[in-house]
Amino acid sequence: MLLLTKSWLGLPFSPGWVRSGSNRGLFGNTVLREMVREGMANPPVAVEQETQVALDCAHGLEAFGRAVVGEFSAKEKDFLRLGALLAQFSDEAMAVSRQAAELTSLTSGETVQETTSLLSENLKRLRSGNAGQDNMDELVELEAIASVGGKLTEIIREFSRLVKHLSMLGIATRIESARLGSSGMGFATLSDDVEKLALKIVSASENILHRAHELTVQTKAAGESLRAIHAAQKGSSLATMEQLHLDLHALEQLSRKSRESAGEISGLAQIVGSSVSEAVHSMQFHDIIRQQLEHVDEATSEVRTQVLDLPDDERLDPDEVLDVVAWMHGVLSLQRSQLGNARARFAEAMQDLDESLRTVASQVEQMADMAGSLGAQGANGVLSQIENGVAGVAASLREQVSLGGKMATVMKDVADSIREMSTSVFEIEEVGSEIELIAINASIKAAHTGEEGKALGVLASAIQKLSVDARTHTEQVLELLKSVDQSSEALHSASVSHSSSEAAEPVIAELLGETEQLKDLDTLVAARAEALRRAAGTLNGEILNAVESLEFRHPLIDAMAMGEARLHELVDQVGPYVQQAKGGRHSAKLKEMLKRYTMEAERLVHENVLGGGVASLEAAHAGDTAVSDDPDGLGDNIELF
Amino acid sequence: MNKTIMTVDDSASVRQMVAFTLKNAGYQVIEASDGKDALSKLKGDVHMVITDLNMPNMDGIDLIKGIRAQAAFKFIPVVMLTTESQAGKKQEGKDAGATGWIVKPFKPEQLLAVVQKVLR
Repeated sequence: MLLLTKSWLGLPFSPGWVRSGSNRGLFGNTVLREMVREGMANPPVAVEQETQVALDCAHGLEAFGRAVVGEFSAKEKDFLRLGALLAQFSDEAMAVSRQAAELTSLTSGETVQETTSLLSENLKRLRSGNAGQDNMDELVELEAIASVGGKLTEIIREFSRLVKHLSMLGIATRIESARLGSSGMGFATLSDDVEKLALKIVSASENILHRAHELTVQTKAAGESLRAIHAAQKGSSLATMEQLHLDLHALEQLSRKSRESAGEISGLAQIVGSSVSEAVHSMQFHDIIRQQLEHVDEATSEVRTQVLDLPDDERLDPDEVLDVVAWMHGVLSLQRSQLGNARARFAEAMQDLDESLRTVASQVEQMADMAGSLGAQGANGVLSQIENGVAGVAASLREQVSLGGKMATVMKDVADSIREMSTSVFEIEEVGSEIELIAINASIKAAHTGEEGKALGVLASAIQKLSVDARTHTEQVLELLKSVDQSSEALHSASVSHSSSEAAEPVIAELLGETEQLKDLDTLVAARAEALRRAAGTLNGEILNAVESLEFRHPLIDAMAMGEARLHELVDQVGPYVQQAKGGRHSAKLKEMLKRYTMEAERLVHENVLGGGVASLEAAHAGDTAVSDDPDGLGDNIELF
Repeated sequence: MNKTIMTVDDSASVRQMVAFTLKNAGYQVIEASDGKDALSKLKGDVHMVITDLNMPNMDGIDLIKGIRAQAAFKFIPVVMLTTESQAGKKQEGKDAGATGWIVKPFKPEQLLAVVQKVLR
């Protein structure tokens, strides 16, 4: 009011009255000034206030839109950088997925299948082999041989007694033949012959005794060896079978886990694909929101121009001023809501982009972990355990072969002993026959000698009887040796089969071959798992860096919020001066603006504001996509003509 | 799948996303920044055009008319990819010879489904 008074008095105008490009205030109207001075007219106070407010508001809008749009457009380089990174992340994530899938196929593939099959076969073979073995029979045979030693010793004692008798008979025969003189001369020879033959029996008996003793020692040693073999076989077979069983189970689990992992990795890869797709969707909001901001800029610039274009002289129509003020108020209110909508949509899109990228990172990490666990190194790794188990099986088989070889050597010595004893027994048998022959001749000779030769005849008969006894004993020994020989033969065959490398070596070779393959597979899997972990780790790091760089969105969002606040201030500034335009003209004009919007979201905000409600994000989003009834099933934002 | 598709948009970031989507699916991509640029790059090995509507120098409607005026490209699919969703504008595009209309933002799988459908 004071300003008005000043101007009315013709005093210099205050800066508040200065319009852009003009130094004249409303009171540049000289006719009106005269009329007021003469009291013929009142100063037009209300219109001037409204005009001033409109002008202030227009000045407040200077460069407003350009600032918001400019800052937003300038960030295109950041979006282009992100876009390039997104393409890179997508490629690298797919590569990680492929590597993970390849890893799972290695651990469930041909090598593992072959090893499973081989282990299964060997398990069956060992089981059936163990069932066929009758370890107790071997021990029984050995005990039979051991007992022969004792029995032989008994019989050989008989031979000693026999030889003693023969010696005594020999002495008696010598004495009798000496008493007979010349008629008894042949009998001395008989005595000598019998003595010599008796010595042979002694020698042979001693040999048999010695061999019998050796046999006892050998069978004892063989018994120990056999027990050791049986214990080792039993132990190693049981341990082997258990180990093989565990290995088989571990392999089957590895295969199963690999197949499951492959399925899960495929699922994770799909999530990565979906997340990348979501990211592409979000990235487009730079362009969409830029357009929305440009529309805000256009609308605010237009209304600013309209205010600044108001005439500053007598041509100024008060109604036009009121109209412009109301129009400005309406437009700024609308643009405040549009700006708010743009800010909210942009913030949401950037948040979605943030989440999509983080999802890609986490899925990639999961894929790498899942596949990497299949290739765990060290003693705990499944393939390492299997490899050690298979090597253990091969070592166990070789040990059995070695023990069997030792046993075979012992049984060979037993067989040699038996052979030697048999030879000695045959010698005794021959000697016995000779002695019997000599005795028979002596009996005949004694009979021819007559009464004098009667004593010699008795001696000869006694000697003959001894020779028959000798034959009986040798037959007993031979029987014993025959039974021992059979047992020895059986044991030798058994030990040969234990030591036979013909059956074991191919199995060992197969197992060692598989061990080598498993070792190679283990190394390959470990290397691939490590490469996968590194690739995934690098990718994750890059993605998280990109997520951090999304911080550039905050200044943009803040700038839009500040713009919104600024428009709010201006709306509040203009608000008190708004009067309803005559005939609701500005409402109609505002509605006309609807046709200028390109986006359904903008139209919905416009309708919400004009309807008195606050533009809702959900309504805006519904507007974004519902363009058609989706006749082609491609999405309701798509129509094919 | 060696077909060539041209993407036309004054927004480099939109062109980038369209190109990424199409190249990932095995298509060759040519980029143009507006209608004028697109017509200058239109050659015999372009099998489809995806274009924005509102662009400087030459907008999407005029571009379609320019494409349809050339005998070699009279029948190639031209799909609009725009924020514009007004029925009137859509009809204008259809009358000019557009094959289809996609309102931004698109999802990659949607864009590829459209391409596969119109390139059959």
